[in-house]
Amino acid sequence: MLWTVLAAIALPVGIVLALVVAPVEAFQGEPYRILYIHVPSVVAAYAGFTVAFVASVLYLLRRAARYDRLAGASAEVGQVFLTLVLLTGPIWGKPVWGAWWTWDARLTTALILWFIFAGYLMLRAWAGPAGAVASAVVAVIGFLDIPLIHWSAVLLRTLHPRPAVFRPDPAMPGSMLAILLFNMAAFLLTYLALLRVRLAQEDQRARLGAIEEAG
Amino acid sequence: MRPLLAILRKDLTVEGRSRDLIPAMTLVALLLLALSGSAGLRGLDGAVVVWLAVVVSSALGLTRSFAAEVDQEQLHGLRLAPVDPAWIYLGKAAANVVVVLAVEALILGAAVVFLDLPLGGRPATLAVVLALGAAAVVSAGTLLGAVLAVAKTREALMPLLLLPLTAPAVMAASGGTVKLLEGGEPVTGEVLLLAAFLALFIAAGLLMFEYVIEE
Repeated sequence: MLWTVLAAIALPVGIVLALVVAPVEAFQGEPYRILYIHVPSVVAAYAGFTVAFVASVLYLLRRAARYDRLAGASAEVGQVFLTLVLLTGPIWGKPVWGAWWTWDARLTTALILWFIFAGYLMLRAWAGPAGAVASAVVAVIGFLDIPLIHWSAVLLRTLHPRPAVFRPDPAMPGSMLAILLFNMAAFLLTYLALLRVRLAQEDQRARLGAIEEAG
Repeated sequence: MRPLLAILRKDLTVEGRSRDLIPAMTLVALLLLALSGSAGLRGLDGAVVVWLAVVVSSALGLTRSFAAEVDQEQLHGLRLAPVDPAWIYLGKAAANVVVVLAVEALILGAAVVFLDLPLGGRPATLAVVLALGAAAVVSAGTLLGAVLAVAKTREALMPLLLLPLTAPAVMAASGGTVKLLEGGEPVTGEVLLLAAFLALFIAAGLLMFEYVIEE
């Protein structure tokens, strides 16, 4: 409950900060503001997939059903945020780069990550409880792809901006960085709130299934 | 090491006698080539079609390789054998690599004939890229094939999972192949990326295979 309340407060505050309070960017102008949604969504998506990864590993080791439910719920919420990333990216790209999409290394691999977890969710939908091990394996391999995604932006030639924040000396003015960090926190809280709801759903479904089987 | 060779020999013998996989996979690959060729695709672009054909036909072939084990209850035998499951994974992967390399060779030849694919002047590096690409696809596909077969899930999920998981490796392989056939540009980045993916998938396979075939 607390997470939901915090998220419900932080998210609108973050949006207002992003749209109204944040200073205008020198080169890109107003469109840059979508950064405050795009980047926090990336953070929330990665958080979702990380939790799904850890839960999947734990499931493979311990075979406790709640780890499987946690993995599924977290991956699903993470996928929602990744979808947001893939939608806000082009919206940002069109006015700034002149193109909705390029096959730049980072865009391509983000899209592929989306496909990986789309496949994961389809596997869970089709295989049901019997597919728990299968989906855990897919989540683990899918997650381990993420570092290669980040490094591919450096290894191959790229149009996407080089990491400006996630590096030793962040290159952003203090006020913008502060709002960005606030929004990251707000999105993480939103992820947690959504995860709680989704997980509660899955727990209910499991309990219902157990009752049906017994009766 | 001996379990690996034993399984390698068994699977290759089965394939030699049944001639199950290689003809089916090659036919699908040739169809893809025929369709692209008839639509006007020629020259260097053929390299991309070759790799698409490799990964799509692998998606079909690699499910069959494990499905046979499950159908004929051989999994129990594999589980009970006093062998580290990692060797089973490596043995099966090795057999699958041989199959995919055979299909690759056939498709490459067909592409030269039907799509005017130039062979370029760097056969040794080309061979390395072809081998690494095949190995990357197979190392992921062998693990996924086991996972899906044990879960008795629909085989239709295989392309849905294999394609996104191996997409970056396939991109590196096809990009590298185009460069190699075109001229003298170095492909060190692509080779390194392929090696990294191969290492990742093999590590994942070695670590997770025993959990996959567990009941």
